[in-house]
Amino acid sequence: MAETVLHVSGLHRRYGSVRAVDDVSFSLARGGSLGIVGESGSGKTTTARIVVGLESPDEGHIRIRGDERTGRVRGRAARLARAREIQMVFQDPFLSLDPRVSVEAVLRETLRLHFPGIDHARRIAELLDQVGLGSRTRDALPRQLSGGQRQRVAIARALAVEPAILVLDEAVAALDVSVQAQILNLLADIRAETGVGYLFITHDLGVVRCVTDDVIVMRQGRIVEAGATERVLAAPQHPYTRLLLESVPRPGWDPHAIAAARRALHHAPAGPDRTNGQSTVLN
Amino acid sequence: MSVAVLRRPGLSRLRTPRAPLYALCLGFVTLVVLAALLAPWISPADPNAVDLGNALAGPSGAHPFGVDSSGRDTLARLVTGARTSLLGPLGVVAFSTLAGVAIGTTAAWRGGWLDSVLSRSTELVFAFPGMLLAILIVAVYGEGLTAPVVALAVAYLPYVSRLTRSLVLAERQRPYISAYLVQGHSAAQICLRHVLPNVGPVVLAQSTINFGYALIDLAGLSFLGLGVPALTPDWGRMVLDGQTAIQRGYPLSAIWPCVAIVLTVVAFNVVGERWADRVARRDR
Amino acid sequence: MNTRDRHGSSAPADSVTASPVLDIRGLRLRLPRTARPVLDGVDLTVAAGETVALVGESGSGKTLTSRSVLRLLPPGATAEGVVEVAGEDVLAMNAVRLRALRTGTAAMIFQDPRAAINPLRRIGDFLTESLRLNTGTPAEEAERRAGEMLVAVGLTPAALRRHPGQLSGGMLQRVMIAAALMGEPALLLADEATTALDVTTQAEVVALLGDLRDRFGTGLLFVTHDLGLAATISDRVYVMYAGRIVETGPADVLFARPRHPYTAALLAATPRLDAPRGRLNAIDGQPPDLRAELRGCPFAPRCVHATALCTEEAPEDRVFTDGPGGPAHRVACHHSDRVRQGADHG
Repeated sequence: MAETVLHVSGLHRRYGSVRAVDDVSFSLARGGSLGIVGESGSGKTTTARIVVGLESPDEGHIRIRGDERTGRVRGRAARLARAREIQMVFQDPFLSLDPRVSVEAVLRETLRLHFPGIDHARRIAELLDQVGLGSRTRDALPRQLSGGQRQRVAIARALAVEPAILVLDEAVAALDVSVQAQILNLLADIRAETGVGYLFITHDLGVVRCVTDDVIVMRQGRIVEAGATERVLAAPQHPYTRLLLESVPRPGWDPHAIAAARRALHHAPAGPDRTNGQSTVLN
Repeated sequence: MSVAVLRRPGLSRLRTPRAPLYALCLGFVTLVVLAALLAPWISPADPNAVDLGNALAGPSGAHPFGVDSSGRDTLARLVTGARTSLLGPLGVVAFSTLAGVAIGTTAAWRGGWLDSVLSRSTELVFAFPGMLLAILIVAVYGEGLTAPVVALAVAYLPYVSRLTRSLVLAERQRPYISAYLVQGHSAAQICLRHVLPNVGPVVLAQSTINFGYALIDLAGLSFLGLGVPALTPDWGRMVLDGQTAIQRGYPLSAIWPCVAIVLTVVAFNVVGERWADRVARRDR
Repeated sequence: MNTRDRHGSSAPADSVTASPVLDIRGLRLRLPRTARPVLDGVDLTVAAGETVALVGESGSGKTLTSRSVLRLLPPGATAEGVVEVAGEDVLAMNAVRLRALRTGTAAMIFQDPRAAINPLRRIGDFLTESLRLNTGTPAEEAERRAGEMLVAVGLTPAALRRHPGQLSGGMLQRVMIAAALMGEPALLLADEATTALDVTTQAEVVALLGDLRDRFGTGLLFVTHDLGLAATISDRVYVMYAGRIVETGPADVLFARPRHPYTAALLAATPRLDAPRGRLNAIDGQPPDLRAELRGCPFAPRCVHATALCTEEAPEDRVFTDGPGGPAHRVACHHSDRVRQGADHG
């Protein structure tokens, strides 16, 4: 069994009367890839933000390589230590880069913060090469780049600190199909080369199937199903997972049946399948 | 050898505006600023040289804009007066912008109780007319440029801090801020290096417009005889001095400074608004 | 998936013979400061009661095409060609006719329902406004019709008194559809109408649109980037690339046997639930820049089948008839014979 790099247990987060995250637990193996699937309001993005420390949980623990990393950190050393363990790529490549900062400056800034006093030019070239950006884009500002190129810059920026975990929050959702495929392949290559672990937040089951080993299905803040991606997608146990799968347009697709199933599920109590929810992931 | 003609961006930016009004106003602003800077060298006469025998003479070769009731050359006083008339608003704008940006950014970034305290206390100033505050302070501390400048700066501060606060709040929502936080940058670093440069142009454009208002407010105070000491050439003060001359059927020495004030204020507003527009469009 | 039969009740064969509610011929749109037209000779028809999907990536011109149907052109744009809605040329209309078109004959549903509705007004005001202002229908009558439309889209008339903030995204998109149907349009333009919705909500909205099309006989132009969705809901599909229609044909034929390399490559690049796992067949490179002039086939630089001919000469449409008497399958490619089925691509 591979070493666990990320261990999340009993995460709770409320906003007013809404339970955005409700008793969420999972773990990520070193170099593994875990998908969190859900629709809007399922709590998947909140979970991701808690894991990287942008939000604090009301309850629960996050351990990275065994060290407690729950909530906001105080002090420069702790801040940098956490940043070097876990990084994040955001959904919208048009908003996740400072419009005034060039590609090279983005990377240099990060490298200077984490590895002061080293020659960064080589590492920048290396990073750009790793994400498939030519040296011609070095001086470009974000607005001169396409969506796919910007997302590559964001990935390079996250990889610059050599993190153990990369959280990808809908990182390919805003991209066109042809570019999305390029980025998904790139992510697969990077994982194979560097052994970084992915926490892949998405609503797209096709994408989950493509890039994750294990998957968690979330609904209304709770985990309704978890397990190996292949198994969950091939033989879903929870009705909600089945509904999600059936909702993906493909030949033989019947929107009326899906609408009816959705209404039926909506009226049924949203009880999560507890036994299923934890057994396979907490290995 | 390659023959590439390089053009500095600063110059090309000046060349692009086609609107004649903007070009005219920018030219006027430059003229006034140059006059203020070079006043001691370009002033045609000693602005304080009294020549009672020649009082209220019309425009002539020696005095192209005429002289006032004490026989002082109006053009010389206008040119020299540009110094105090611009220096005052500059102080107001500099102070209110720096303090306003600091307060607005802190309030927006920290949020919570600090935001409430800072926002409410700056809004208190809104309830108090700036001119009245200035008159009060001058009444207590006596003549001098400092008192009215400080008073007006305090009065202008809430406009800047409120604008900055809303801009920083919007900017903070952008994912790139979250990205920098995750990267391990400190909040202060992110504010200074990323948030402020991004909101800066909008704030500066607003401050340019504030400059015009501050100029007219300070001229108003001078006209009331508050602030600038009697002998210092100042446009507002010149209107006050020329007031008696109007009653004697000689309005020229009051009209010139009025024209100078109005044109300068209009020019600063046009330039400021144009900058604000351009910044807004660039953001699209 | 083993079932190959398609959903939808209207037969594509019928729709071809019916007179089109939308007929675009040779639409060419130029924007200022671009080297080539953003739309370059677009031909597209939608018949009454037919669902047509217009598929493309961002910048392909699919949204501009649908917006030009309502003459919602970007500033400085110049258009050539014919855009006929119910027999009338939109590009040549006067302001009065154009208003009648936008309020009645054709209606559009946008991607983000929340951005397309004034959050301060009630749903009822939003629905009845156009009817009351443009046709002078009395308020009560308009309100009654709005209530009926809400029922038709699966909401209750009680929603009339709600504000947009009180409704979910899916409910709001239903309201937008109800609003679009208020003027009894002959043509409904759905511009990425389900993209912002959750996948289960998307199914509901699509089911609803299908029902309404059958009930009112409305022609439906569905603009989307989602190939899977286009394949399942539409009768015919147009695939756009760099402002040109590169392939068009019946949905089942086109997706089962794409004949343009771009269509095939797009299908292969889509992560699917029923394809083998592992690396995707990404399309290298970027779509052509609008500031660069185009010679030959726009897809040639990224195409695995490209030859010298492709960069020299723009391909003419080739017509394939995949079945006897079936609707035309048109492909703008010099080498369409070499394109194999999407699934085995790569």
